[in-house]
Amino acid sequence: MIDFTVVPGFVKGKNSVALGALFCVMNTFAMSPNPEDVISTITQEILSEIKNDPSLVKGDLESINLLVEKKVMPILDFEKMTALSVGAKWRQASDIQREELQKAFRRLLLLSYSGTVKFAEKAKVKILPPRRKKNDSRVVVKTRVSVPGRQAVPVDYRMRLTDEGWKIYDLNVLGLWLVDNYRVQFSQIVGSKGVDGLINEIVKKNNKLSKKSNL
Amino acid sequence: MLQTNTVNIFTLRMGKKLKGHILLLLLSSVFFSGCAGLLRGEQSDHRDPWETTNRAIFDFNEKVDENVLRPLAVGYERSVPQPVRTGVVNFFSNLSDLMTAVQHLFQFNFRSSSESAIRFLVNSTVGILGFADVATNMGIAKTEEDTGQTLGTYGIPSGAYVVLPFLGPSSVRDSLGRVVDILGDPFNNIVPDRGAKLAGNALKIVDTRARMISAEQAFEALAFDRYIGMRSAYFAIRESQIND
Repeated sequence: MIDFTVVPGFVKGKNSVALGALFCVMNTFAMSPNPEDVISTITQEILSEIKNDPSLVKGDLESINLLVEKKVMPILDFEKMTALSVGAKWRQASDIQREELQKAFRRLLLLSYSGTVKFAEKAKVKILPPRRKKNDSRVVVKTRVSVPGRQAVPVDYRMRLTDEGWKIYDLNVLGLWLVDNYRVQFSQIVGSKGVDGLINEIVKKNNKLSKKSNL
Repeated sequence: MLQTNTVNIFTLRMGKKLKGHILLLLLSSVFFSGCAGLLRGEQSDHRDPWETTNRAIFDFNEKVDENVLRPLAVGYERSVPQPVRTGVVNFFSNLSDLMTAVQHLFQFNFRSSSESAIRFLVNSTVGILGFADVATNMGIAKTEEDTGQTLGTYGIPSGAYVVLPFLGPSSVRDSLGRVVDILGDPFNNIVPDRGAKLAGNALKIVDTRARMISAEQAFEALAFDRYIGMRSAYFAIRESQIND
């Protein structure tokens, strides 16, 4: 163990950052962080980014897109999320169709949440105590998001343990699971119009939504 | 055809509570119920036996919203300055704290009940008739309960889905709760003047609608069919509110 009090000043500067980084890396190797920590870290990071970037608060789609790419996508099992939302027909979809479905679905979710980013400025996130067994590879992390003067909103995450650590594959706001919501509607569209029809419908929806958000 | 469809949806609802290998059955039942629904030209849900009537009222409500309520809400948001709007929100929110305190009491949730009561007392006095939300700054968090939720905690099921004219999505249980809530509404009971009562309620409705503008985009993205989207959101949100 290094005692920082006796290390000369210059070591405390640059090198201690490197040491800290090394320690973090070692820590991830030693034990992957538990699901609650993943959620806690990511929500704090995102909230502080939003507080420090006025373009995010204004709802600028490009900035939000970058933030999502940088912070959210790495902890999302997005393929699974899309697959579950599409339902049984996912297995029959070709690789190209799967890719297009994910692309359209990602944009749909982006457009859906871009309007709520402005509330994040004043939001506080509390993670509820976990209720899970030690070796569970699928868990639900429950949180409460509060904005001053309003009843706290329940936001829950379904997560599973992958080779790259815990990843989110479903999300619940106010009691409504995202995947459940889309599966019922998507399977109906796929049933009548096929996978390409579903891609078309989502793209159409996206165009309508982005036209509105530009106004 | 109708029966198969209903049965399939029923399997779907029941299946949701189970896990793992039932997923396949579940997905196929979604698929088949989708097909059956499409052949009939609509999707039916066992919780919505009055779908034809509900859809008609839903369309009516959407027209009212599009032509009257939403334009009023947008105008209100544009013309009334933020601090005044916050005051209005706080005023009605304070009265709802009083209602919530009573509801918590009926739910035998004494701690939450006293918290809501303290919020009401603090905000009505220090917060000048509730226009300022002092209690939140003191760290007493807001909660919201209504009669429908209280009945739900007693184990009374929601019953069939009902779309109320002007008021929107509800259920048999929650419509009943709604009547009790309106009759017991402190504002209607305190204000003696009929004109003031009307004006106050109109303001409350426009203000409530104005606060929903920011959620429109999210709802639009969630619902490929607005009627079905609203219905499933209603049941999911109410269940979560009752279990909170």
